[in-house]
Amino acid sequence: MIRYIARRLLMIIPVLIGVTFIVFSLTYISPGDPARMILPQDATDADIAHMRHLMGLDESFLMQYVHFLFGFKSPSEDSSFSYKGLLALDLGRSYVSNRPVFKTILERFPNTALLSLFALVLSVLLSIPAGIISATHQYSPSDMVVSVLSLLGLSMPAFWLGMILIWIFSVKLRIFPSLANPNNLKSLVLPVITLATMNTAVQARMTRSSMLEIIRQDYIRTARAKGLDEKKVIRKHALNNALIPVVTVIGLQVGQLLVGAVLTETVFSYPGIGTIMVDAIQRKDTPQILASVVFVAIVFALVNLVVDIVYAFIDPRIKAQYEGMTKGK
Amino acid sequence: MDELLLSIRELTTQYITEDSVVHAVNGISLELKTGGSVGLVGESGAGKTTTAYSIMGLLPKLTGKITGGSIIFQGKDLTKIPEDEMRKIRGNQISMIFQDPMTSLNPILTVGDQIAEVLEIHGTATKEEAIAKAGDMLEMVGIPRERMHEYPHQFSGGMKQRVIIAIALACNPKLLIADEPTTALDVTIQAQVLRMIKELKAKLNTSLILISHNLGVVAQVCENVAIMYAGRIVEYGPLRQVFEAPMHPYTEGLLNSIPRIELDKTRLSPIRGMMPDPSVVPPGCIFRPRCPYAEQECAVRAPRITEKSGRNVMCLMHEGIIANKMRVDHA
Repeated sequence: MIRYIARRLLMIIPVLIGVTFIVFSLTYISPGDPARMILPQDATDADIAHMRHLMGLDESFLMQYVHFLFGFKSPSEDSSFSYKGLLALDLGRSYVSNRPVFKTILERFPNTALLSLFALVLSVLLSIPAGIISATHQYSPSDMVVSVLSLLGLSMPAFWLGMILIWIFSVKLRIFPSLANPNNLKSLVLPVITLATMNTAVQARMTRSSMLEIIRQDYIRTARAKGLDEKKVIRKHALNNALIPVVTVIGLQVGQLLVGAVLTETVFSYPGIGTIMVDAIQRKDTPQILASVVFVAIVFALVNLVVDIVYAFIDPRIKAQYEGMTKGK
Repeated sequence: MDELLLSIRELTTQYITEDSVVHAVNGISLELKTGGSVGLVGESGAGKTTTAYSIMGLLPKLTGKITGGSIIFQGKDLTKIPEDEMRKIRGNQISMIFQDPMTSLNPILTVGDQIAEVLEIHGTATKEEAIAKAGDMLEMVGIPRERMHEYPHQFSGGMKQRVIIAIALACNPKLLIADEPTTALDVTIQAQVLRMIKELKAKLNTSLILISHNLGVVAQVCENVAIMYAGRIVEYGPLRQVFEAPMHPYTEGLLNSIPRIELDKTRLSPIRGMMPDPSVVPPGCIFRPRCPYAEQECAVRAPRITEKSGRNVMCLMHEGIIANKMRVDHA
């Protein structure tokens, strides 16, 4: 098992190389010149060219990518354009705030994590019971309610829902503030609901369909034939089996929560990774964009590794498979 | 020893859906003594499994419904008792073995847990006792008790079926229903599993209903045989007599469909045609469209059960309504 985890950790490396290359290329080809944005409006072309040289932007694409990975030493005495490269977890300073980009991310990430965690807990607490009730009472009124609500939840984009919630609860009813910040739990209510809605809907549908499939399995009939009551059949025999695909979806959604936070955080002006990314993209703050995306990619890869490990604890067949994989080869 | 354990009277079970009513079991009657054994034989769709589910109370909740008759088990009518009382009988006094061992065990629980569970729910043992007993049960079906901590995927098909047998017999049930217990297994394992069922049945004095489409399987284990066709028992009697001298044309057809080494035949004679659509019940004899002896009368007059020398048969030929043209004479 430990060898499997080690293998999976190593497999994150090629994923990250791919992600960084794509993100780097996209930032490279996107229009806008950071040098021109940093300098005052009346800067001459010579000033801009000199600035580009200091920032290392006059080099070839490949050279710049190498710098990005292994570091860059700026020819200027001002060290703010130098950095040690991604491998040393240093992508330099933000062109805008002149602060080390990873420092800003690490400061803000707990805010995003907090929001995502609340949203995740809320969605799991709502969706799994809803999915189970829906599946075990198929075609009943409660099933209909869950199905309709989850369809609604799926069809509402986060930015729209966020604005509607603000309009109702902040503008009209004045119950919750429209600006969210991590030190005020009450202000988190609306963004958490916004973030959790789509996930709750997806997970509820997933739980329902997975559960419906499992309760038709032969071993559920065996469990009933033992004389177990229906509640125990569901809890002990059906639920764990049905949760296997749900865990996959939840894992993917943790990633989505982090990304979905971009929209939600923007709507509620919440100081998280999402707002960092949006600001950085708007200002063509290349180091900050690269650092944020790489960071989110690492978190996403780790979360999915955790999901795969969780499988092994739910399903002994998968555990055996993992162990066979590392023993056999 | 000779007391009646199970008595099914005119059992009728239907599957009711929005657009049709499937007449799966149509008024069958069957008796089983303590320690006795009966084989239910018939094609797919004859209502064998539905009969078993009716006894177990495991019919699909939304569609399956017992619409008539009674199932008297130890003096109680199983069709009338409430679900929680039925639950105490299920797995405890009546157990069932299912067709496909590959999918009948929960993949994420150890086999030991799955055996112990049935003992725990019926309150026959505490948790520790149940686990110890689960080990005993495994040994009884020929699996080393150390393997109780393993998961179903670590067992072969034959061993899984033994585990299922261990679950079914753990509470020492009065009645065991085995639904095609060997169909999914290969032939050598089939013989082992059948021998085991037979031995354990004798050892524990369990009564047995063995469901199979395979007459050979039933022949190895059962004293009596009931031939089912389209939800009816068309012939019932002691196994040997039924096999040697079938009274119903359908039984005769079934026997003719078995390859037999002692007969110098190059071709088997299968029963022509298909079983009728169970959602449409035609008048007259249900087997008439496929019966080689059918006459005009068979299309209008439904046969009733005729008792003849300790055997039951449902055919107009034996009611004396039409002439008996079968090769073997039973007079």
